[in-house]
Amino acid sequence: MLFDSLIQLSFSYFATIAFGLFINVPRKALNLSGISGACGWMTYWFAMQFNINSIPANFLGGLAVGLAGLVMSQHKRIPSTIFNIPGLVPLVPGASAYQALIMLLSGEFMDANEKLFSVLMVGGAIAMGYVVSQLISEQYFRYRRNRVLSKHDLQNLDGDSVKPE
Amino acid sequence: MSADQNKIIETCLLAGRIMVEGGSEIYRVEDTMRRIVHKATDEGGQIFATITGVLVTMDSDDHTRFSQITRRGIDMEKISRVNELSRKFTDGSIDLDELQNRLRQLDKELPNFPLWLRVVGAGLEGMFLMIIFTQTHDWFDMPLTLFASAMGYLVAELLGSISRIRFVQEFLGSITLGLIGIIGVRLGLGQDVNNVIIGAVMPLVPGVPITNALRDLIEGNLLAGIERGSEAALTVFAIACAIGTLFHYL
Repeated sequence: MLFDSLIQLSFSYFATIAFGLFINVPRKALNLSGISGACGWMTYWFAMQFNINSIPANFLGGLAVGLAGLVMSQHKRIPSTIFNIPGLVPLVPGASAYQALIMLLSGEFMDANEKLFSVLMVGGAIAMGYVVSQLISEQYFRYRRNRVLSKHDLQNLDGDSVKPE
Repeated sequence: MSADQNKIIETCLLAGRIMVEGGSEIYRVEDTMRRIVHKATDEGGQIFATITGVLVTMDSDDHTRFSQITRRGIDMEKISRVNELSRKFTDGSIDLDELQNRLRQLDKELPNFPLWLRVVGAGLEGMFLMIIFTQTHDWFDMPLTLFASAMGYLVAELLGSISRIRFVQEFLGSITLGLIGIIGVRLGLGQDVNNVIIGAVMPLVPGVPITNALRDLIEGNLLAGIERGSEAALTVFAIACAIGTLFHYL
Protein backbone atom coordinates (compact mmCIF):
# COMPACT_ATOMS: atom_id res chain seq x y z
CA MET A 1 0.00 0.00 0.00
CA LEU A 2 2.79 2.42 0.94
CA PHE A 3 4.90 1.43 -2.06
CA ASP A 4 1.85 1.69 -4.28
CA SER A 5 0.93 5.17 -3.08
CA LEU A 6 4.52 6.35 -3.48
CA ILE A 7 4.47 5.13 -7.08
CA GLN A 8 1.15 6.88 -7.72
CA LEU A 9 2.37 10.09 -6.12
CA SER A 10 5.69 10.32 -7.96
CA PHE A 11 4.35 9.18 -11.32
CA SER A 12 1.46 11.65 -11.32
CA TYR A 13 3.89 14.44 -10.32
CA PHE A 14 6.35 13.65 -13.10
CA ALA A 15 3.63 13.07 -15.70
CA THR A 16 2.22 16.53 -14.98
CA ILE A 17 5.64 18.17 -15.23
CA ALA A 18 6.34 16.35 -18.50
CA PHE A 19 3.03 17.63 -19.87
CA GLY A 20 3.98 21.10 -18.67
CA LEU A 21 7.14 20.95 -20.78
CA PHE A 22 5.31 20.79 -24.08
CA ILE A 23 2.49 23.21 -23.30
CA ASN A 24 5.11 25.82 -22.34
CA VAL A 25 4.30 26.34 -18.67
CA PRO A 26 6.32 29.28 -17.27
CA ARG A 27 9.45 27.93 -15.60
CA LYS A 28 8.67 29.30 -12.15
CA ALA A 29 5.32 27.48 -12.17
CA LEU A 30 6.56 24.09 -13.37
CA ASN A 31 7.19 22.50 -9.97
CA LEU A 32 3.94 23.77 -8.44
CA SER A 33 1.89 22.56 -11.41
CA GLY A 34 3.37 19.10 -10.82
CA ILE A 35 2.26 19.28 -7.20
CA SER A 36 -1.22 20.33 -8.31
CA GLY A 37 -1.43 17.29 -10.61
CA ALA A 38 -0.28 14.98 -7.82
CA CYS A 39 -2.86 16.55 -5.44
CA GLY A 40 -5.73 15.87 -7.82
CA TRP A 41 -4.65 12.34 -8.66
CA MET A 42 -3.95 11.33 -5.03
CA THR A 43 -7.36 12.66 -3.95
CA TYR A 44 -8.99 10.56 -6.65
CA TRP A 45 -6.84 7.52 -5.90
CA PHE A 46 -7.46 7.53 -2.15
CA ALA A 47 -11.16 8.04 -2.77
CA MET A 48 -11.11 4.98 -5.01
CA GLN A 49 -9.19 3.02 -2.33
CA PHE A 50 -12.00 3.81 0.13
CA ASN A 51 -14.50 2.33 -2.32
CA ILE A 52 -16.09 5.61 -3.36
CA ASN A 53 -17.76 5.47 -6.76
CA SER A 54 -15.64 6.80 -9.63
CA ILE A 55 -17.97 9.73 -10.41
CA PRO A 56 -17.75 11.40 -6.95
CA ALA A 57 -14.08 10.43 -6.81
CA ASN A 58 -13.43 12.35 -10.03
CA PHE A 59 -15.49 15.25 -8.71
CA LEU A 60 -13.27 15.38 -5.62
CA GLY A 61 -10.17 15.18 -7.82
CA GLY A 62 -11.30 18.13 -9.93
CA LEU A 63 -12.16 20.07 -6.78
CA ALA A 64 -8.71 19.38 -5.31
CA VAL A 65 -6.97 20.58 -8.48
CA GLY A 66 -9.07 23.77 -8.51
CA LEU A 67 -8.40 24.56 -4.85
CA ALA A 68 -4.68 23.83 -5.20
CA GLY A 69 -4.62 26.20 -8.20
CA LEU A 70 -6.34 28.89 -6.12
CA VAL A 71 -3.77 28.69 -3.33
CA MET A 72 -0.82 28.57 -5.75
CA SER A 73 -2.05 31.45 -7.89
CA GLN A 74 -2.23 33.58 -4.73
CA HIS A 75 1.26 32.54 -3.75
CA LYS A 76 2.96 33.07 -7.13
CA ARG A 77 0.72 35.83 -8.56
CA ILE A 78 0.05 34.04 -11.85
CA PRO A 79 -3.41 33.00 -13.12
CA SER A 80 -4.79 29.76 -11.73
CA THR A 81 -5.24 28.25 -15.22
CA ILE A 82 -1.48 27.77 -15.41
CA PHE A 83 -1.74 25.26 -12.56
CA ASN A 84 -5.14 23.82 -13.37
CA ILE A 85 -4.66 22.76 -16.98
CA PRO A 86 -1.60 20.58 -16.32
CA GLY A 87 -3.12 19.49 -13.01
CA LEU A 88 -6.17 17.96 -14.68
CA VAL A 89 -4.07 15.74 -16.98
CA PRO A 90 -3.75 12.67 -14.74
CA LEU A 91 -7.52 12.74 -14.09
CA VAL A 92 -8.56 12.70 -17.74
CA PRO A 93 -10.30 9.37 -18.48
CA GLY A 94 -7.79 8.29 -21.14
CA ALA A 95 -7.81 4.55 -20.57
CA SER A 96 -11.62 4.23 -20.60
CA ALA A 97 -11.80 6.33 -23.75
CA TYR A 98 -9.32 3.99 -25.39
CA GLN A 99 -11.26 0.90 -24.28
CA ALA A 100 -14.49 2.39 -25.63
CA LEU A 101 -12.71 2.99 -28.92
CA ILE A 102 -11.43 -0.59 -29.14
CA MET A 103 -14.94 -1.90 -28.39
CA LEU A 104 -16.39 0.28 -31.14
CA LEU A 105 -13.83 -1.01 -33.61
CA SER A 106 -14.51 -4.63 -32.78
CA GLY A 107 -18.28 -4.13 -33.22
CA GLU A 108 -19.37 -4.40 -29.56
CA PHE A 109 -21.65 -1.40 -29.85
CA MET A 110 -23.68 -1.87 -26.65
CA ASP A 111 -20.60 -2.16 -24.46
CA ALA A 112 -18.96 0.71 -26.31
CA ASN A 113 -22.01 2.91 -25.69
CA GLU A 114 -21.94 2.15 -21.99
CA LYS A 115 -18.24 2.95 -21.81
CA LEU A 116 -18.61 6.17 -23.80
CA PHE A 117 -21.35 7.40 -21.49
CA SER A 118 -19.22 6.69 -18.46
CA VAL A 119 -16.35 8.65 -20.08
CA LEU A 120 -18.71 11.61 -20.61
CA MET A 121 -20.00 11.40 -17.03
CA VAL A 122 -16.47 11.32 -15.65
CA GLY A 123 -15.50 14.33 -17.80
CA GLY A 124 -18.57 16.19 -16.54
CA ALA A 125 -17.76 15.28 -12.94
CA ILE A 126 -14.23 16.69 -13.27
CA ALA A 127 -15.58 19.89 -14.84
CA MET A 128 -18.18 20.23 -12.05
CA GLY A 129 -15.53 19.83 -9.36
CA TYR A 130 -13.49 22.47 -11.07
CA VAL A 131 -16.43 24.90 -11.35
CA VAL A 132 -17.31 24.42 -7.67
CA SER A 133 -13.73 25.37 -6.77
CA GLN A 134 -14.20 28.50 -8.89
CA LEU A 135 -17.34 29.31 -6.92
CA ILE A 136 -15.46 28.91 -3.65
CA SER A 137 -12.68 31.17 -4.88
CA GLU A 138 -15.16 33.89 -5.93
CA GLN A 139 -16.80 33.81 -2.51
CA TYR A 140 -13.39 33.90 -0.84
CA PHE A 141 -12.32 36.99 -2.79
CA ARG A 142 -15.62 38.74 -2.08
CA TYR A 143 -15.22 38.00 1.62
CA ARG A 144 -11.63 39.19 1.65
CA ARG A 145 -12.40 42.38 -0.25
CA ASN A 146 -15.23 43.24 2.14
CA ARG A 147 -13.04 42.62 5.14
CA VAL A 148 -10.19 44.73 3.79
CA LEU A 149 -12.59 47.55 2.92
CA SER A 150 -14.05 47.66 6.39
CA LYS A 151 -10.60 47.68 7.95
CA HIS A 152 -8.75 50.28 5.90
CA ASP A 153 -9.25 53.55 4.14
CA LEU A 154 -11.80 53.22 1.32
CA GLN A 155 -9.88 55.62 -0.92
CA ASN A 156 -7.02 53.44 -2.08
CA LEU A 157 -9.02 50.31 -2.81
CA ASP A 158 -11.27 50.44 -5.84
CA GLY A 159 -11.63 46.70 -6.27
CA ASP A 160 -9.07 46.50 -9.05
CA SER A 161 -6.24 45.96 -6.63
CA VAL A 162 -7.74 42.64 -5.59
CA LYS A 163 -7.92 40.74 -8.84
CA PRO A 164 -10.06 37.63 -8.75
CA GLU A 165 -8.29 34.67 -10.27
CA MET B 1 -13.31 57.65 -34.23
CA SER B 2 -10.27 59.22 -32.70
CA ALA B 3 -6.80 57.74 -32.93
CA ASP B 4 -6.72 57.19 -29.20
CA GLN B 5 -9.85 55.09 -29.17
CA ASN B 6 -8.56 53.18 -32.15
CA LYS B 7 -5.49 52.29 -30.17
CA ILE B 8 -7.48 51.19 -27.15
CA ILE B 9 -9.59 48.85 -29.23
CA GLU B 10 -6.54 47.50 -31.06
CA THR B 11 -4.68 46.76 -27.84
CA CYS B 12 -7.73 45.15 -26.30
CA LEU B 13 -8.27 42.90 -29.33
CA LEU B 14 -4.60 41.95 -29.41
CA ALA B 15 -4.65 40.92 -25.75
CA GLY B 16 -7.80 38.87 -26.29
CA ARG B 17 -6.43 37.16 -29.38
CA ILE B 18 -3.16 36.14 -27.72
CA MET B 19 -5.02 34.70 -24.73
CA VAL B 20 -7.38 32.62 -26.87
CA GLU B 21 -4.41 31.37 -28.89
CA GLY B 22 -2.86 30.22 -25.63
CA GLY B 23 -5.95 28.19 -24.76
CA SER B 24 -7.35 30.38 -21.98
CA GLU B 25 -10.90 29.96 -20.69
CA ILE B 26 -13.31 32.43 -22.27
CA TYR B 27 -14.38 34.10 -19.03
CA ARG B 28 -10.76 35.03 -18.33
CA VAL B 29 -10.30 36.47 -21.84
CA GLU B 30 -13.43 38.59 -21.54
CA ASP B 31 -12.48 39.72 -18.06
CA THR B 32 -9.00 40.86 -19.15
CA MET B 33 -10.36 42.71 -22.19
CA ARG B 34 -13.02 44.42 -20.11
CA ARG B 35 -10.40 45.56 -17.58
CA ILE B 36 -8.26 47.10 -20.33
CA VAL B 37 -11.21 49.02 -21.84
CA HIS B 38 -12.42 50.10 -18.43
CA LYS B 39 -9.03 51.36 -17.32
CA ALA B 40 -8.33 53.19 -20.59
CA THR B 41 -11.68 54.96 -21.00
CA ASP B 42 -13.33 54.92 -17.55
CA GLU B 43 -16.32 53.52 -19.35
CA GLY B 44 -17.46 50.02 -20.06
CA GLY B 45 -17.60 48.17 -23.32
CA GLN B 46 -19.32 45.19 -24.84
CA ILE B 47 -16.97 42.25 -25.23
CA PHE B 48 -17.66 38.99 -26.97
CA ALA B 49 -15.06 36.25 -27.28
CA THR B 50 -15.20 32.83 -28.88
CA ILE B 51 -12.53 30.37 -29.94
CA THR B 52 -12.50 31.68 -33.52
CA GLY B 53 -12.66 35.44 -32.94
CA VAL B 54 -13.03 38.33 -30.49
CA LEU B 55 -15.34 41.37 -30.76
CA VAL B 56 -15.20 44.73 -28.96
CA THR B 57 -17.66 47.63 -28.92
CA MET B 58 -16.90 50.65 -26.77
CA ASP B 59 -19.72 52.35 -24.93
CA SER B 60 -18.28 55.79 -25.73
CA ASP B 61 -18.67 55.50 -29.52
CA ASP B 62 -20.50 53.37 -32.02
CA HIS B 63 -17.64 51.40 -33.56
CA THR B 64 -17.29 47.65 -33.35
CA ARG B 65 -14.19 45.78 -34.31
CA PHE B 66 -13.40 42.14 -34.77
CA SER B 67 -10.22 40.09 -34.78
CA GLN B 68 -10.10 36.64 -36.28
CA ILE B 69 -8.25 33.77 -34.64
CA THR B 70 -6.99 31.03 -36.92
CA ARG B 71 -4.43 29.04 -34.94
CA ARG B 72 -5.08 27.69 -31.49
CA GLY B 73 -3.06 25.62 -29.11
CA ILE B 74 -2.23 25.35 -25.45
CA ASP B 75 0.51 27.73 -24.38
CA MET B 76 0.56 28.71 -20.72
CA GLU B 77 3.34 31.26 -21.15
CA LYS B 78 1.07 33.42 -23.34
CA ILE B 79 -1.75 33.48 -20.79
CA SER B 80 0.65 34.21 -17.97
CA ARG B 81 2.42 37.08 -19.78
CA VAL B 82 -0.77 38.80 -20.97
CA ASN B 83 -2.21 38.53 -17.49
CA GLU B 84 0.93 40.09 -16.01
CA LEU B 85 0.86 42.96 -18.54
CA SER B 86 -2.83 43.69 -18.04
CA ARG B 87 -2.32 43.68 -14.29
CA LYS B 88 0.51 46.20 -14.64
CA PHE B 89 -1.68 48.32 -16.91
CA THR B 90 -4.62 48.35 -14.50
CA ASP B 91 -2.51 49.35 -11.53
CA GLY B 92 -0.95 52.14 -13.58
CA SER B 93 2.69 51.09 -13.78
CA ILE B 94 2.70 51.01 -17.61
CA ASP B 95 0.69 53.14 -20.05
CA LEU B 96 -1.28 52.19 -23.14
CA ASP B 97 1.60 52.65 -25.62
CA GLU B 98 3.88 50.47 -23.58
CA LEU B 99 1.16 47.83 -23.20
CA GLN B 100 0.60 47.74 -26.95
CA ASN B 101 4.32 47.50 -27.73
CA ARG B 102 4.89 44.73 -25.25
CA LEU B 103 1.88 42.77 -26.50
CA ARG B 104 3.10 43.07 -30.10
CA GLN B 105 6.51 41.86 -29.08
CA LEU B 106 4.94 38.97 -27.18
CA ASP B 107 2.91 38.06 -30.25
CA LYS B 108 6.05 37.86 -32.39
CA GLU B 109 8.58 36.20 -30.14
CA LEU B 110 7.71 33.98 -27.24
CA PRO B 111 10.12 32.00 -25.08
CA ASN B 112 9.53 28.29 -25.48
CA PHE B 113 11.31 25.11 -24.50
CA PRO B 114 13.58 23.70 -27.26
CA LEU B 115 12.03 21.04 -29.50
CA TRP B 116 14.08 18.14 -28.11
CA LEU B 117 12.95 18.94 -24.58
CA ARG B 118 9.30 19.08 -25.65
CA VAL B 119 9.67 15.72 -27.42
CA VAL B 120 11.27 14.19 -24.33
CA GLY B 121 8.47 15.72 -22.25
CA ALA B 122 5.84 14.12 -24.47
CA GLY B 123 7.63 10.77 -24.20
CA LEU B 124 7.86 10.96 -20.42
CA GLU B 125 4.22 11.99 -20.12
CA GLY B 126 3.11 8.93 -22.09
CA MET B 127 5.34 6.65 -20.06
CA PHE B 128 4.22 7.87 -16.63
CA LEU B 129 0.55 8.05 -17.55
CA MET B 130 0.65 4.50 -18.90
CA ILE B 131 1.36 3.21 -15.38
CA ILE B 132 -1.19 5.59 -13.81
CA PHE B 133 -4.03 4.84 -16.20
CA THR B 134 -3.69 1.10 -16.47
CA GLN B 135 -3.15 0.76 -12.67
CA THR B 136 -0.67 -2.05 -13.28
CA HIS B 137 3.05 -2.17 -12.59
CA ASP B 138 3.93 -2.86 -16.20
CA TRP B 139 7.59 -1.82 -15.98
CA PHE B 140 8.65 -3.81 -19.03
CA ASP B 141 6.61 -1.70 -21.48
CA MET B 142 7.91 1.64 -20.24
CA PRO B 143 10.84 2.22 -22.67
CA LEU B 144 8.76 1.30 -25.71
CA THR B 145 5.95 3.63 -24.57
CA LEU B 146 8.42 6.45 -24.08
CA PHE B 147 9.81 6.04 -27.59
CA ALA B 148 6.42 5.61 -29.31
CA SER B 149 4.91 8.58 -27.55
CA ALA B 150 7.88 10.87 -28.26
CA MET B 151 7.89 9.93 -31.95
CA GLY B 152 4.11 10.41 -32.28
CA TYR B 153 4.40 13.91 -30.82
CA LEU B 154 7.43 14.75 -32.96
CA VAL B 155 5.63 13.79 -36.19
CA ALA B 156 2.51 15.77 -35.22
CA GLU B 157 4.62 18.77 -34.25
CA LEU B 158 6.73 18.78 -37.44
CA LEU B 159 3.64 18.44 -39.63
CA GLY B 160 2.20 21.46 -37.84
CA SER B 161 4.59 23.72 -39.72
CA ILE B 162 3.67 22.13 -43.07
CA SER B 163 -0.10 21.71 -42.93
CA ARG B 164 -2.72 23.91 -41.30
CA ILE B 165 -5.20 21.03 -41.06
CA ARG B 166 -5.04 19.63 -37.55
CA PHE B 167 -6.67 16.36 -38.60
CA VAL B 168 -3.67 15.42 -40.77
CA GLN B 169 -1.18 16.11 -37.99
CA GLU B 170 -3.01 14.07 -35.41
CA PHE B 171 -3.82 11.24 -37.83
CA LEU B 172 -0.23 10.79 -39.00
CA GLY B 173 1.13 11.24 -35.45
CA SER B 174 -1.16 8.45 -34.23
CA ILE B 175 -0.22 6.23 -37.19
CA THR B 176 3.45 6.66 -36.25
CA LEU B 177 3.02 5.83 -32.60
CA GLY B 178 0.69 2.94 -33.37
CA LEU B 179 3.15 1.43 -35.84
CA ILE B 180 6.03 1.77 -33.37
CA GLY B 181 3.91 0.19 -30.62
CA ILE B 182 2.70 -2.76 -32.70
CA ILE B 183 6.05 -3.50 -34.35
CA GLY B 184 7.87 -3.10 -31.02
CA VAL B 185 5.58 -5.64 -29.34
CA ARG B 186 6.02 -8.08 -32.27
CA LEU B 187 9.80 -7.74 -31.93
CA GLY B 188 9.53 -8.58 -28.26
CA LEU B 189 10.39 -5.10 -26.95
CA GLY B 190 7.04 -4.81 -25.19
CA GLN B 191 4.42 -7.24 -23.93
CA ASP B 192 1.00 -5.55 -23.98
CA VAL B 193 0.20 -3.52 -27.09
CA ASN B 194 -2.93 -2.00 -25.50
CA ASN B 195 -0.96 -0.58 -22.57
CA VAL B 196 1.71 0.82 -24.87
CA ILE B 197 -0.83 2.59 -27.08
CA ILE B 198 -2.90 3.94 -24.14
CA GLY B 199 0.24 5.65 -22.84
CA ALA B 200 1.60 6.71 -26.20
CA VAL B 201 -1.51 8.52 -27.46
CA MET B 202 -1.77 10.66 -24.31
CA PRO B 203 0.24 13.66 -25.64
CA LEU B 204 -2.21 13.85 -28.57
CA VAL B 205 -5.47 13.14 -26.69
CA PRO B 206 -7.41 16.39 -26.12
CA GLY B 207 -8.32 15.66 -22.51
CA VAL B 208 -7.84 19.24 -21.40
CA PRO B 209 -9.89 20.80 -24.25
CA ILE B 210 -12.77 18.42 -23.43
CA THR B 211 -12.75 19.44 -19.77
CA ASN B 212 -12.38 23.11 -20.74
CA ALA B 213 -15.26 22.80 -23.21
CA LEU B 214 -17.53 21.38 -20.53
CA ARG B 215 -16.41 24.16 -18.23
CA ASP B 216 -17.15 26.90 -20.78
CA LEU B 217 -20.58 25.35 -21.31
CA ILE B 218 -21.34 25.18 -17.59
CA GLU B 219 -20.28 28.81 -17.17
CA GLY B 220 -22.68 29.89 -19.93
CA ASN B 221 -20.24 30.57 -22.79
CA LEU B 222 -22.28 28.27 -24.99
CA LEU B 223 -20.78 29.12 -28.37
CA ALA B 224 -17.18 28.78 -27.20
CA GLY B 225 -17.98 25.53 -25.41
CA ILE B 226 -19.53 24.00 -28.51
CA GLU B 227 -16.64 25.15 -30.72
CA ARG B 228 -14.02 23.77 -28.36
CA GLY B 229 -15.97 20.55 -27.95
CA SER B 230 -16.24 19.99 -31.70
CA GLU B 231 -12.54 20.64 -32.16
CA ALA B 232 -11.73 18.08 -29.48
CA ALA B 233 -14.17 15.57 -30.98
CA LEU B 234 -12.44 15.90 -34.35
CA THR B 235 -9.08 15.18 -32.74
CA VAL B 236 -10.46 12.10 -31.02
CA PHE B 237 -11.90 11.01 -34.35
CA ALA B 238 -8.49 11.40 -36.04
CA ILE B 239 -6.78 9.27 -33.40
CA ALA B 240 -9.54 6.66 -33.56
CA CYS B 241 -9.26 6.44 -37.36
CA ALA B 242 -5.51 5.96 -37.17
CA ILE B 243 -5.50 3.30 -34.45
CA GLY B 244 -8.51 1.56 -36.04
CA THR B 245 -6.81 1.39 -39.43
CA LEU B 246 -3.67 -0.09 -37.89
CA PHE B 247 -5.52 -2.74 -35.91
CA HIS B 248 -7.54 -3.66 -38.98
CA TYR B 249 -4.61 -4.18 -41.32
CA LEU B 250 -1.87 -5.42 -39.01
